[in-house]
Amino acid sequence: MKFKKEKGPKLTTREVCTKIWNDRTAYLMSAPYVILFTIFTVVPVVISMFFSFTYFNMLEAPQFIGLENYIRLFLKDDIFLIAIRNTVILAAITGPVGYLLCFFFAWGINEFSPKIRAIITLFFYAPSISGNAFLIFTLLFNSDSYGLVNAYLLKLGLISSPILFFQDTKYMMPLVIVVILWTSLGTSFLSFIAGFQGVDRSYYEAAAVDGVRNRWQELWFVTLPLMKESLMFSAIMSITGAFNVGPTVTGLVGFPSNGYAVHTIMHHLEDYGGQRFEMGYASAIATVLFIVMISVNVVIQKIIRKVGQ
Amino acid sequence: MNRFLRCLAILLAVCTLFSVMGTVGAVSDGSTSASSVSSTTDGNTAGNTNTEGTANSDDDSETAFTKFKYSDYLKEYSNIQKTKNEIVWGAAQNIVSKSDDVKVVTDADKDLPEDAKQYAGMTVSTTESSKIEWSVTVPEDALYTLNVLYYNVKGKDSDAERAIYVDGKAPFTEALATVFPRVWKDVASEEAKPLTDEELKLGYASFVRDVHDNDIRNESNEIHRWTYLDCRDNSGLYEDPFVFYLTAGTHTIRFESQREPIYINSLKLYTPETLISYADLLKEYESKGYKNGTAASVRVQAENLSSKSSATIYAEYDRGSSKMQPYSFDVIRLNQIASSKFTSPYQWVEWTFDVEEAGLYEIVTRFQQNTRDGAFCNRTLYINGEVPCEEAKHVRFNYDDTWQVAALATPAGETMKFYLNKGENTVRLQVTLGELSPIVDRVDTAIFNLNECYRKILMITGSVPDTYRDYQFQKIIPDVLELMETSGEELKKVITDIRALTGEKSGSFTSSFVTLTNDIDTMTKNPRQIAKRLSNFKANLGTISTWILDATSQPVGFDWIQVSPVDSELEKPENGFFKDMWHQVRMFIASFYMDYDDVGRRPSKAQGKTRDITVWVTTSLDQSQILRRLIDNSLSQTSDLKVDLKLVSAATVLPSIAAGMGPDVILGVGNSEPINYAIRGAVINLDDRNLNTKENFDDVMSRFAEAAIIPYKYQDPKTKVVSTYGVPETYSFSMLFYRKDILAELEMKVPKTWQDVYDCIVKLNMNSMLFGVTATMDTYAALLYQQGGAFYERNEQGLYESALDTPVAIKCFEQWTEFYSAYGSPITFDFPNRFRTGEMPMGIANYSTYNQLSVFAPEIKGLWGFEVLPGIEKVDENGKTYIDSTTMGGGTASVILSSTKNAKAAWDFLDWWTSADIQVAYGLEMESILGTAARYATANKEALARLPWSTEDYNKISEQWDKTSALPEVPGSYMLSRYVNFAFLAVANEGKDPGEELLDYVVMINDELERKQQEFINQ
Repeated sequence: MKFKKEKGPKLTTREVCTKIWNDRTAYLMSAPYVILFTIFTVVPVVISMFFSFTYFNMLEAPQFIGLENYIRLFLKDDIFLIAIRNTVILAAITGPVGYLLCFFFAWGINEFSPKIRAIITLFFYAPSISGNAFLIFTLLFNSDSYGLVNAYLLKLGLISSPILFFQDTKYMMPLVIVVILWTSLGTSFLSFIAGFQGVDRSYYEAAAVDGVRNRWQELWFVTLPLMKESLMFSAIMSITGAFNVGPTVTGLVGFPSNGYAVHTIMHHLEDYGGQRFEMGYASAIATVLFIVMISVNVVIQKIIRKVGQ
Repeated sequence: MNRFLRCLAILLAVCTLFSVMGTVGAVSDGSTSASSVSSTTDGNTAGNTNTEGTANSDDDSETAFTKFKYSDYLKEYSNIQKTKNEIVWGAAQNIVSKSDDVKVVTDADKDLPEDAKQYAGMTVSTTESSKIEWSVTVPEDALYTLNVLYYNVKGKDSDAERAIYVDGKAPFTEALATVFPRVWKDVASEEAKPLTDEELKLGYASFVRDVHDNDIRNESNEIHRWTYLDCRDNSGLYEDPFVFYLTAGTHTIRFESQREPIYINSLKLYTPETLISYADLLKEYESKGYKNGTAASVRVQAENLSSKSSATIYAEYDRGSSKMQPYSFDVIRLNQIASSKFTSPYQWVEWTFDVEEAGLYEIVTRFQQNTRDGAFCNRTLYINGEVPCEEAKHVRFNYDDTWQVAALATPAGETMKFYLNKGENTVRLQVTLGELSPIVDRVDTAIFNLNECYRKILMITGSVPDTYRDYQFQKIIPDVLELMETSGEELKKVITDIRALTGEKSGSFTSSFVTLTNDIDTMTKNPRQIAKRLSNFKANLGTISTWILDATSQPVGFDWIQVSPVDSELEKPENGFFKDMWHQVRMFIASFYMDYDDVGRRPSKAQGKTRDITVWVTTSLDQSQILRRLIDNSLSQTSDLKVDLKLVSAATVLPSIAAGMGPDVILGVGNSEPINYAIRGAVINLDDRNLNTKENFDDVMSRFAEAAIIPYKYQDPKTKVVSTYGVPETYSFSMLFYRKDILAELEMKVPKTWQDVYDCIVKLNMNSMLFGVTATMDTYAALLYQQGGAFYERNEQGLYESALDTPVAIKCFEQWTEFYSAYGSPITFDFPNRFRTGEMPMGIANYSTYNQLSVFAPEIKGLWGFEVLPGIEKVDENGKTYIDSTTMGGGTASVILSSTKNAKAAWDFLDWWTSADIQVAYGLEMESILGTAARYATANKEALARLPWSTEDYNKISEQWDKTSALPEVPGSYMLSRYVNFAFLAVANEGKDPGEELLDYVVMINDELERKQQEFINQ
């Protein structure tokens, strides 16, 4: 699996050009993606990093101000600390739990016959493809006394006045976590199912001969190592997803959330970029978020490599 | 840990909830149905009316409210005969009393229009707020119909409305909203394309064409003329004109204006002739020697009408059928009067036919009735101004999903023939509910009663009844149970009657009745079930109210009308399969090359150089099309401005400005945007000498409420110069809504001060009802402004600072939060829905809620009103006490971007756009397309006066209009509303101390305010 880099002899420019020319088909084929990726992903990231060192209000030309944005971000901005705390809580809970949920559901579903599997897969996958389906929760937990949950609780006599579920700091975080988990069975879930499908049955037979005695051992020593790529892909999707919960949260609790109870880094970014027109500062936030996400991904990759060892 | 357990409990509850969703589901029905009601009753501007049941309509009588339906009045006097006498008197005679603005008009009066002179000399002119009372002596105890000869003088384009009082009392509620309709016609422009002989033969109308050869609709103009009108109900529930019971002797009849001026010439008390049957009509024709006509048939296209009852009925196009006349598969040809516009009772359209030979003819129409599955819609036929026979009163148009061709027939199916003169004849079709009207009336009464029952039960149980408790309803409210039972029985009879009338078996038209009667049966037979069923019952009541809305509309569309010789063969209504297929194919191909976004553009009239500007709107397609039409028909015909109007999504505005691709003018930007753009140099100061706006800047700004401009003004902290960056477009504010009937029942008065409000809340709470206070800044602002506070103050450097730490601000904040913590007002609620069920008979809401209520809550029509916000008693400098009831206003604005090359042209455009004429035209057009619910909240005061509000309602709005203030916009002001909201929620959710919470945030607000203001000073 691991590629060892071979150090060849140093090439002259001319030789490089010849090599490129010889592999021109490969370069041509990858060109569309590389060009689009550069224009729409690499360049914006670089530009955003540049803006993070400027004062930029979107409507007037940016002014270079050095590290001022970062200094303010880390030393003066209390709300940013709240945002970091919330992001870590959300990511730490929804990322791994969502990941495990995906895995165990996929594992369970894998046991069914293909037809039933297809139906159940659709059933679990539906919430994440149907866009704003999570908004059903705003109906369920409506703060009107005729909102479904409130009406029911009032009827049972557990409460005497309706609870403002999505505006009460007591309930916001737990509810948001529940909803995010509900929608988390997305792409990574599908990739798990594909991963399980990709394992050849003969490995299990061989493993049985070699002394694997129960399903757990089968899972740990056979299935998981064979679907490491799926695991990696899903992990990255889950973690990235956990950092990008902004729109879901906004859809549930509005923007900004009451008392910044579920204010994440994404929201902080939106607050400065969209509401206060401080693009330079927002870019600094984005850069921090970017670095955090990259580092978390590196850590995750290291952990996943340990699977099956 | 505790918090975690609570969440767990709630989650468990949710899980249980899914399993019992079926039963609780109905709970949510009630609260969501508000949004599902569409605005189907356009053109029906009946709205709300003054419905005090007593003689004096002064302020004190508002609470003395009773509803007395005309049907009850009829029942009471059912054994009294109709008069055979006729009493006529001139309007200028027998006047007992009149208000000062009532004038006697003579021929010499130069104000009198030329064509109104025919009856002048004894005419009185009444304005939109006049009162006039006549005395009249009748010879016998009998029922009299009141006929009025009136002239519809130019006003605000809505139908005139008068409240009729007999002997100082309103005999029944409906008499308080007697309508004197206007008459309209379409005016073909001189530039219209001339018609060919072929087209003339088919009765085409001529239209102006746009640059793509699309038809452009003709304008509607009013016909001012004298009309005899039998005073009648306006809802369509009673087909015959009103009868008034008068005893022998002298009586007084008083007209009080509700809206619009009219001239009145004479009045008559009489009994209209009863109509003869069709069989008798044929006998009469025979005795007169009328023969079947032999002239060729004459066709007139429906859109080629000669007069109509409302400007909201107009030519539209249909490409769905390949046999429409005029036909086109690509361009727009206006070819029908659409069923969606021709539906409300008393709307009518009249066509003129030139018949070559006198005789008996059939009347054939090509029509579309595809909404009333399994039922029919009715029209009343008038020939030359008269209904020829009883059967012509309800001509039926049956259901089919395609267009149909049929001759007008009796309900039994016999084709009718009518006598037409040689030369010009008029044929009028008027919407009527026909046989359905008494049924709808009965349903209306039953629903009214059941709503009352619901309220009475609610007063005992509260909105969340305890299902395990025996409330002993039989002992406490036996009368309510009885009323419920009789109403239920009545509804059951209604079901049978509807089924008999329409022959409907499947039951889609009556299914909601069945559900409701089942509810009622269970509840009355077993009162212990009432608590359990109450929410279901409420939801079903709402459904029936919607049914009434449906039933009172009778949509039939027309393609053409034709006068044909008797027994001539009918044309096929649609083309054959292949011809139709070919039509569809060509239509599909046309969709690739026709630019339907550019419909209606006409070549500009401006000669030589034009001043071009680009204007963006961020509202809806309808609104942008109306604006485009106004620009083409008005602006580009009269000025050298050439406007490129584009509809864009609001999200694209900012990026476009940042990229330097912005337009010259943006319409409809939010309250806080102009200053946000301005401090970053993106929009221009309108009050600028370089812009040449000095000459009319003040004129333009004087069109709006002073407070409306506050959010768009900004004073530079350094130079102290005040600049204005936006022109107000819309403007609205909160007012107090209340249910007249419930207030009367509880013997309460409309609160004038907050102290009154507290008394009201206590009284309402005692009866398990609520007072609605919107949990937004508006309420806080109203309290604060009334007590002389402010949100901002300036510090020594001239910078804005929050003034929330002042004692008055803290006191008001406490007062605001007390509504929820101490007085039990809910924070989240659907006001229109709770208002109509009576759970929340009083509440503060935006004045545009009025429109929503008047459209979708017909069952409480006339039972509610709105008032100026409660206030605080103050003493002015003369020592007189008055009530300060300031409220907070807000709206949208138009701005000119700094990137514009022609600022003067852009300013001239804004001048045109915010002028009263254009705002009124825009508002009326919106209302005609989207219905009364879309009444435009213009920021132009003069335009507001000319929108079709009733005089009384307008006065209320106007009074509040002058008592508005607004939140100034400063850099960083978003922080203020955000943190006030945080503080509010902390108090509401966690019961924290209001003062402390607010003060905690003041520091943070001030930090942001200062930082943001410094940011722009340093530049």
